[in-house]
Amino acid sequence: MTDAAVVRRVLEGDIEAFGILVDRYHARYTRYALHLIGNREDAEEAVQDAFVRAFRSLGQYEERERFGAWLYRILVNQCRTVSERRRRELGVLVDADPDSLRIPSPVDDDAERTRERLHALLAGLPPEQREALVLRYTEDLTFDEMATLTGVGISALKMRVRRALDRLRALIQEPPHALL
Amino acid sequence: MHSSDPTGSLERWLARELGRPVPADPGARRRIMDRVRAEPRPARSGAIRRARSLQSSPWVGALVAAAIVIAVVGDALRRSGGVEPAGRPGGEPAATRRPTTGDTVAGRLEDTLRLVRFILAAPAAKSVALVGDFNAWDRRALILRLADSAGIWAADVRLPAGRHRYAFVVDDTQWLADPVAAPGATIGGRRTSLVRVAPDGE
Repeated sequence: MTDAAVVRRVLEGDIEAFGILVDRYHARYTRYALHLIGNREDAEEAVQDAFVRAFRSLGQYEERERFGAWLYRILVNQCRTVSERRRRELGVLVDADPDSLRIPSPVDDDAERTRERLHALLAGLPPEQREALVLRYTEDLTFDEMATLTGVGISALKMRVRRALDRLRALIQEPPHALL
Repeated sequence: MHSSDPTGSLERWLARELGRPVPADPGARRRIMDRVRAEPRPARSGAIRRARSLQSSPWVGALVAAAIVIAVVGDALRRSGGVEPAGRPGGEPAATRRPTTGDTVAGRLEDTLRLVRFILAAPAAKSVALVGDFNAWDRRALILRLADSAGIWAADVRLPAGRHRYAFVVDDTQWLADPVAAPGATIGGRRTSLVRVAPDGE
């Protein structure tokens, strides 16, 4: 069943059919949100909120557009909202409970450290560059596919990815080959 | 590309790390569908009915010394908004009843939302706000009222069935998780607490 057909079923009253769309897109968009936001809990919150917003707006979905692309734009906005809110909250509040200031014990997992470092590097990119870079390498999409998904022109996307790579090289203090 | 080519190395590293599968959360689908089921049905015309909005009323108070949160769950909700505590028919409405430790009150609502009372003992606080995933962690959205002279702050919130993370913000500057409630997943590295609202009929 196509995404458009599932949407029609939901609008006709079969709410449970929305689960088909969740099954199709949740894992992929969770990975995307995780790399955009850098935090698993916030990423899951953003993805969950995106699906709920998509459900609320389902009546406005135009079938000529790919559902994945439509949902993707909702998700990007949610990721931006979550990231901005987190920055706002952390920038103003101090912790009343001193225990919460404890640094978690070191993780011996190299993969975990690598992931943390990756997210720290991505956080140094402007939002549009980060989004383009994450989309390019998370989903292994061509620029044509990225343009269809985002509605942004191919030239602009290539420029964003190129600038993101240049900025990452500037942020990385070690030689690039040391990342391997 | 050669491994000494910096462009190729960085791009290969990004492709490898960003492309790694992320472990699935088995509860994620259920949580999404729980929220979706609680939503008004979308309409093709775009005339989507608005979800019920939570009521919030600002009140003002004094400084924090300690925190105690009690989720309050009960049996029936009268249309007037008063809530009767479980097992206490004829009790005074929850909004005016003196809260007690361990007490729970929840109202059965026509629209399947359940009323949950959040309580915080903070006699020195000037203001207490409730933040959670049900109000986008906005500390301006839901301010607790000072329920009595002993410094008990309270707010009644309508929530759908499921798990909800929350915390308190005291005097607009201090983040406080509930030390006696179940811990929730952190947000932005900050501790939260968890309240579980049982589905209708449980």
